[in-house]
Amino acid sequence: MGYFDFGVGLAFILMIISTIASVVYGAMNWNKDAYVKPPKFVKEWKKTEKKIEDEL
Amino acid sequence: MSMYENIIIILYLAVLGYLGFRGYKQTKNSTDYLIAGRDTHPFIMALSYGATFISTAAIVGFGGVAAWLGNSLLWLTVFNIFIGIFVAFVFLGNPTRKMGYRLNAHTFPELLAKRFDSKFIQIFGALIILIFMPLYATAVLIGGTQFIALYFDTDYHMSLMVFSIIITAYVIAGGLKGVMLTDALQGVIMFVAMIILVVVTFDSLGGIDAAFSKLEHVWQTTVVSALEQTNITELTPGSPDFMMKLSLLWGFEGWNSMPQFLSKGWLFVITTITMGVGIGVLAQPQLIVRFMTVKSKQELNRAVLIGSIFILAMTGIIFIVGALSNAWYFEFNEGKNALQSAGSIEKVIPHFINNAMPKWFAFVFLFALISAAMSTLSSQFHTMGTAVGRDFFEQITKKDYNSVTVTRLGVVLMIIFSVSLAYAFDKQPAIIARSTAIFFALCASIFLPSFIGGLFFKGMTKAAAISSMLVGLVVSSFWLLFVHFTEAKALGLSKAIFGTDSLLSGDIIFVDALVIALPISTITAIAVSFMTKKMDKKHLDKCFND
Repeated sequence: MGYFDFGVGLAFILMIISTIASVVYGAMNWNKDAYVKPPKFVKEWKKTEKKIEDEL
Repeated sequence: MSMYENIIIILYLAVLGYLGFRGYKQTKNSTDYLIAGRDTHPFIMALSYGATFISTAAIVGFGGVAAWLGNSLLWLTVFNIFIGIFVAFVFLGNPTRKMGYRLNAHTFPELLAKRFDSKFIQIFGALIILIFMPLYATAVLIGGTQFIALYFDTDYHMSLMVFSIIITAYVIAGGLKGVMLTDALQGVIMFVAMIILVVVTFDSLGGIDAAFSKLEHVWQTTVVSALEQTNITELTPGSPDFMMKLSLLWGFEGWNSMPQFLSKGWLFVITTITMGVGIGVLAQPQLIVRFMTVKSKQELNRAVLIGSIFILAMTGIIFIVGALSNAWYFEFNEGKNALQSAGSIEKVIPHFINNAMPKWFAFVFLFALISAAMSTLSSQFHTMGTAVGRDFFEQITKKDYNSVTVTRLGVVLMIIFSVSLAYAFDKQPAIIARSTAIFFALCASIFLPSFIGGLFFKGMTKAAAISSMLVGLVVSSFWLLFVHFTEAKALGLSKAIFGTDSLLSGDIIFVDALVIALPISTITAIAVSFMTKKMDKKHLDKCFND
């Protein structure tokens, strides 16, 4: 790292830190916030859309 | 071409055809065609986002710029990962997905239009996409075609036709499902090629420490000692030595150093390259729509991990390799730096691949470049098609059409338009060469305040969204046409009307349009929101509550 000046060295470190932070965030939340059953209105909307598609 | 190369090309085309066909078979309705059925796998989504973002220009063009200006470009990689992936996926992704779901939005202009209850916004958004994205697509198309024509030694126009037909086929047939599946394949190819590239580069220079350490000596020898006493007027404009002398005058002090604080070079690297592209990515319609293609936040969480590694492997590696190519050429090409060896910025990466890498790698890298071009183009064509069909035609005619058919027609129309531009201009004219920067600056200035305000601030009004978009358009257009040193000169309108390349003088002409226009359009959005009537509570409930 001695070959970089402060500005480029900082960019290099932040690049690595940003990647590590993203990897850690992704790994820690890998199984969180899973899909839950859609609200009722979505089912109704899907039915309506299918009807329109069929008519067309 | 060897038999192996022929087999690999046929295999590649066959897999593309299969993925396009798979997209076609899975496409049953407009939700499938426009936003991939909202059930995309996180791996596909993350790679598609990354591969769409990274075009041939990002690898070849910016890699060449890194050979010229050095590792200060790594600030863009920081922004690409932290803002383009982390902030985008963690903070914007899920609110976008949820609001798109609640409002049944299928495109980015439609999301904004439904949030602010304004058809004008949808049509305006579509027009911005339809006017400016074809130029951006043409730049990518010309770049990709030139590589194919060069490598296979074929006619440019013939290569363009074949290249376009292949992309057209899977975009029209498979819709966004086909586009994202092929993007993921292309992303994998790009990833593998970049990893090989950086490993071979470090290996040929004696390891990581040895490679970076050499740059200072090369800079001192080929730039400082050779050019310090030379007057720039004695050099041929655009020549390698001219460009290196220019970098000295702009305040650059080495490939491992930042340019002097607030110098022309610093403003260029930080505002135009880092902020222009790094922040501009948040308002790209073809990328935002990908947040609406997944069914839960879980996919977005997983995509953060995959996307960050992908982007690090793309821009992080190409900037480092671009800068290090100076050390390689100095060592293996009679003490010359990269620009002196390759001839110009855009030739550095292809020249380096052909000379510094094993022969077989040139073929792998060609695939990576074609993949980068195809993944960006297919998404652009799809976005332009939805802008024509869903956002413009359906809104103007006010009739219920089959969105899939209308969008397919839109895709065909926009591909014909973009290919015609690429057909007419095999040598990129200035407006097309600058179109990526223009598109990024415009999108951020026009869309970003309304997009973020729309997601997080219930108090943002319809009038505020419209005024901020119009102000963003006017200010960024003015800056691009009459002030910023690269675009204003390339577009030529300022010269034609006022007889000068830029209406302003001094270092401010190096400040990117986004840095000027985005704060003004943001202030407009806030101010007008306070001055105008709040939106109906019932409508806001629909936007923000399940």
